Amino acid sequence: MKALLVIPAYNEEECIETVIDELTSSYPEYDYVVVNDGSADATADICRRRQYRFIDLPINLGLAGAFQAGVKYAKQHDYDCVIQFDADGQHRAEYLPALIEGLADSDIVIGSRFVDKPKPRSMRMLGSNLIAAMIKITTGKTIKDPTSGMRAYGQRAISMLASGPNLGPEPDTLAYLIKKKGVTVSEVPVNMSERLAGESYLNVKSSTKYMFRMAISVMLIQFFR
Amino acid sequence: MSLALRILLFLGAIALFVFLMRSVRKANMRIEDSLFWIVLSAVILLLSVVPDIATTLSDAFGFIAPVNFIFLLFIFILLVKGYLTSKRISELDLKIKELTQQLAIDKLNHHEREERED
Repeated sequence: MKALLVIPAYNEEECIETVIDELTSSYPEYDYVVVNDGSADATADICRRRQYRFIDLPINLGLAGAFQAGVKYAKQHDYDCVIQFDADGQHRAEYLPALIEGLADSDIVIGSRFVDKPKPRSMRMLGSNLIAAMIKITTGKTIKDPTSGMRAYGQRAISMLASGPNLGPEPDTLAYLIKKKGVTVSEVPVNMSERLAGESYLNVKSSTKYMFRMAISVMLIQFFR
Repeated sequence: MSLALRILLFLGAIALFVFLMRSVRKANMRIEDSLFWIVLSAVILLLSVVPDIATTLSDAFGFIAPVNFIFLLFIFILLVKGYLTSKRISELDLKIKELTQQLAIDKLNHHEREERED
């Protein structure tokens, strides 16, 4: 299976080198493409200097737009698997084979932190539980880690994600694809590391906005799509 | 409808029209987009010159005063316009996104082709 790792990077100058070098030295069998999402820092310069393969978006599109650029590239170059991979070092390449294997019998495979482990109690996990509950109610499908950013997409999912306007790599897209497109989703257990540097984009305001968006999208809009 | 309100509507219509023509002349508005506002200013002008229209419609719908009818009419018109504007912004966002992605992908493709030829 021809797999492409899509690595969206927004202001990741501190980690991008470590992440890509680790990937290319330990797992040279995987193709990757960094998508620089109009970073204001030296991310693009580093990619150019180190001759990484990268898509250089001239303006910031946000995670959904950046990831979609990578998916389009994968589609144009006939990859049959796209893996969403973080540039901040949270995702560990050792789980890539398991993700790709999972695609043999489902369209999307999620690298899940909670397949065999309970979720820790925190505000973040409360949000995760809420989203999981909404997906369960609307699609009947149990997804233990809907907010995991480590996912593998097979050919069918790639075709859909490459062209749709509201299909960012988020839980509401999973719910929509399961419910309306009959896409199959499975989970494989992974562990994640702490981010190497940089700050999480999650704060109270953005988390509230995120939850509101997910709730409206999954509980209401999904039925009319 | 009071004379004061008619004068206000009349001046409003003229002011709107003047601003509009300035925008079109300075080329920061497309003719297509100015059409809505030209029609709106014409409607306001008509209402100020022929107040019977407002009075008749107001009576027909059971409003206490024509001014209430005029308020509701404009609220509705602006609501529709606000919705259309929001829709248009979404479309523009999508187009910008498509352009940005294609531009960046083409750049990488071009770069890779050059490297292969070297």
